[in-house]
Amino acid sequence: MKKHLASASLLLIFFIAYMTLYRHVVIFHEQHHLFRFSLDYIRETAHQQGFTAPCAAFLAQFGYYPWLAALIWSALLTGVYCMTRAFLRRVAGFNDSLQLSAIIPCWTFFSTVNIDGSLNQFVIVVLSALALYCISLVLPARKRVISIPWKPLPYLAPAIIAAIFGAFYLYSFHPVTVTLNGTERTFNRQEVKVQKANEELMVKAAQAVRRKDWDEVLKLSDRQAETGVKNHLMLYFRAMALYHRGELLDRIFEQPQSHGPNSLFFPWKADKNRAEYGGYIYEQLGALNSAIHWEFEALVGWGETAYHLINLSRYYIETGKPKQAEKFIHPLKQTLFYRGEARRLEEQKKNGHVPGLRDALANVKQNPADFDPVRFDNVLNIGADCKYILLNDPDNEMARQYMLLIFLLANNIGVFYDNLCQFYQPDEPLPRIFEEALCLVRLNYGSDRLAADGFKISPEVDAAYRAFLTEKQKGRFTNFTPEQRNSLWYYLSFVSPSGNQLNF
Amino acid sequence: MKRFVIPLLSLILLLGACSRPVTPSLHTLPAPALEPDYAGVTFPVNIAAPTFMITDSASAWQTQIGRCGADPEITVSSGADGAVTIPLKAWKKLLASAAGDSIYLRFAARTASGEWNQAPDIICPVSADSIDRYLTYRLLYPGYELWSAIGIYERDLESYVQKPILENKDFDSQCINCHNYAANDPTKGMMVHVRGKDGGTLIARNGKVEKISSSFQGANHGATYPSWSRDGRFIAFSANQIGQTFHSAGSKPIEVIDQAADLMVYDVENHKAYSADTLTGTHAIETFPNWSPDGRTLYFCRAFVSYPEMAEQHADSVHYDLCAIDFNPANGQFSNFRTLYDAAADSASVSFPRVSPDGNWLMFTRMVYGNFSIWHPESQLCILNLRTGQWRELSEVNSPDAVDSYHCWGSSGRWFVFSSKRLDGLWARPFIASFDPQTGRATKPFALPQKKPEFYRTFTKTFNIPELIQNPASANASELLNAIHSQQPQAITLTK
Repeated sequence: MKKHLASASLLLIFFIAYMTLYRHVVIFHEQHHLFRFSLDYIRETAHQQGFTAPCAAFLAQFGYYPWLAALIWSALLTGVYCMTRAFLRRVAGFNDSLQLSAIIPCWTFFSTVNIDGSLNQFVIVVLSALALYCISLVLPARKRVISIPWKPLPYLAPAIIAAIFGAFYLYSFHPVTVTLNGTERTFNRQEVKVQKANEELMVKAAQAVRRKDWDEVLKLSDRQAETGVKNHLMLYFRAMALYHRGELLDRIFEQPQSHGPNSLFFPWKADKNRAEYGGYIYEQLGALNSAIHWEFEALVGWGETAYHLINLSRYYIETGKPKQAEKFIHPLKQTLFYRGEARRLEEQKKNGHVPGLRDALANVKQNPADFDPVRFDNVLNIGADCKYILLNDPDNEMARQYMLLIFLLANNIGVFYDNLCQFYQPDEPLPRIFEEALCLVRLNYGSDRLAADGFKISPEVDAAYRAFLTEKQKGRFTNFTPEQRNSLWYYLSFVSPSGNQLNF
Repeated sequence: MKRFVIPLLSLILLLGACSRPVTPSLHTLPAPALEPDYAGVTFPVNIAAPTFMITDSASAWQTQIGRCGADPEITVSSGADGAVTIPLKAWKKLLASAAGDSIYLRFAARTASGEWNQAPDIICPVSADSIDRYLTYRLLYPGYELWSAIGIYERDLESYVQKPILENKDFDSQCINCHNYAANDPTKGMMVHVRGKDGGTLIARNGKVEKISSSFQGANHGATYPSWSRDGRFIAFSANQIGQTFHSAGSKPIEVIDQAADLMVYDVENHKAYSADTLTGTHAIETFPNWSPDGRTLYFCRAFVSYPEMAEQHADSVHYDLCAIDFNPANGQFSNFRTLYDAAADSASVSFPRVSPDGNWLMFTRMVYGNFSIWHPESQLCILNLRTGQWRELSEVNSPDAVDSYHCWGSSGRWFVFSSKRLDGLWARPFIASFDPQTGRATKPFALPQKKPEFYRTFTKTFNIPELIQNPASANASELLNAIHSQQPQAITLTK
């Protein structure tokens, strides 16, 4: 019992840490690697990235079931501990009562929970420990063993190991991923705690978006707002979640939209980090050509990971390109955990349709036989793309809400109003923030124009506007009520990155 | 011991029985579909054996191959998957014996009742003209703006061996593009652009590698699409300002647009560069230069852009004509500009003019608009008779609804390779076809043979810029890599 106490406690600590503190990182690794049982894959990956890369991908794949990865990774790290300990005993004749052998696996553990890193280090450590252990087996064992002559020491092994682990936890510093924070600066130690928590929330939110767990996304974005960190990615996710909850136009200003219209999307830059997440919105809008563009760039940047392969397969099936879809389904068939998904995709390929996915621009013809002028994505402002979608897919509510909201967030009240007239029937109930915008339109165009176009401002909104103006004139910004802070007027006066100038 | 002997002998006998050719009792099977399609193609005598999938369904297949009028020399048995791998050694022997003649592919399928049914023979001529032994290409994901692993490779067409010439994993994942050779011979001249912190244009000649700056002093833009004269002295470059934009809908994913482009010629011996006002004005865009074999005429594409600052919005109204201009190697002067094919008047656009080694034919790609035909499914290869000025679509080569684009003549002018996306619509694959310089007619093309029959179904990288060469370019690999790391780019000044 005494003999195995240290290794058992180490195994337990690692397992619990992987399953609690770092469960999201285990999933992150799985989503950014894809091991395939194919000699061609192994050969090519080893050639391009070194021999540890396919081994790392092999280990990462178990993150499909986080408990399984946690168990295997913990067992391997514990194995490193045992082999190091055995090596020290056989070669140096040193009985490691102080559990110094736990330092290497603990250090390795913390290298695996860094989402900017890979598992290559892990692989190297495991293989090195194995090699040392094998060497120690062929060397003659030391007859005299050096030991600290304090009998209770072995019983304190769990405590010593926990202390070593705790020390690493407290002093470990992971560079927070550039992807999620949009910054490359180095954080000082005081900021690390906040950034670690922030990173965790964003990784979890990204995973929740992939699961389409919109309640969880909102919960995480609320938690992130409490940390005081402003983050583009989280605003983007939050807007998406609010739309799917039917609350986008009511709750958009609950959190300061500090990125203006960009809060709703990522302007395209040839950057693999943006490519990873930027395509989500296009899939939901039904702009599958654009979704393919983003997803393909993500695949080029991040490699053939399951998520990108599945998405590309789905998009190509839905846009009627089964041969292209087939190419992305094939690697999934060679994996341990995505074979079922590959079978599902094969079925969808036969049917030519993916449940839950639609091509809003399917009817737009751009070929020589039926030649329409070409139309290109506006990669810097999704508002124009939303309008194009809406013109071709008039019932696309997401495109309608996003388009009008983007005009408001860009201070373009005049354009907003023109499009409101085009895409809203006067008898349709208007969301509160659109009525708030009408107050500004009235100031510029006059009540007669509004009346002529059939739009009305409710007395409640009218009164609220007057109250807001009164408060604003006082110049005491702290006195605004939560309702006033949650208004378009507040955003345009104090938050908009374009300043408080309105465009008509 | 005894208990192993009988099963082992049975197994050997069974295997022997399996590999013995079957004699079909029925002869009603239609010719099966092959993927890639090798039915009726003309093989060069020195090409590696094709491997393919039979896509019709049957529980088992037998493929026999032999010289026309003779017994089969190769018999391959396949399961229900229809994967056919032809032994390379036997294939080479067969082609050597059938050079100038034809071979047949004879397929038989096992029916549900267990009988074998044979299809009519598929006849494939074997040309006695060899194709250049090596094919070089760039392999990368068919992405748009991002890149990851990129490499330029050399494939031995007589086997399946592929060797890297340059791989960007060896120089910080920087981009490499536009590899080009003098007269299909890397020993005469080879060049490639490197884009990134170690950027420049690498020029390998006579066993030495030089790195010059891709941005010539006095030029409006950096050197882009190259063409090396056959004598190895001059490289013509277009100097392009390129933009990319993405189609919101329809079958084209991306449009690669010239916002501006000029032409210039670099003298690799004297380190001088030449151009002319005709080729550098802002009123027109000139791109894709290609030399006549005597190095005295440059063929290129030219378009007029009414709104250069809004090139993207008007992409579908940009039409490139096929033009030519004479060049005097003695003084670097240009003269006698002319339009060979006014594609704009035809509501069409051309790209990639490539002149045959005998100087009589010019192959180009024709599409509806723009210049980057590799993303235009309607793009088709065309051939222009330079003696008569007549052109036609190479219908014997083109696919009806997929990209047929970037092409390269072999050194003999009797073979050419081109990029086609006909297999799946997204990935460019090298296709090879023979060409008759007397008639200007080509034969049905075939996909570059691969070792594994399912290769083209599974390979997710695209073959970019296939170039046929006579000698291995991989011999330059270490010098090229060394030049990337160690040489500073040499400045070149443009003279007009």
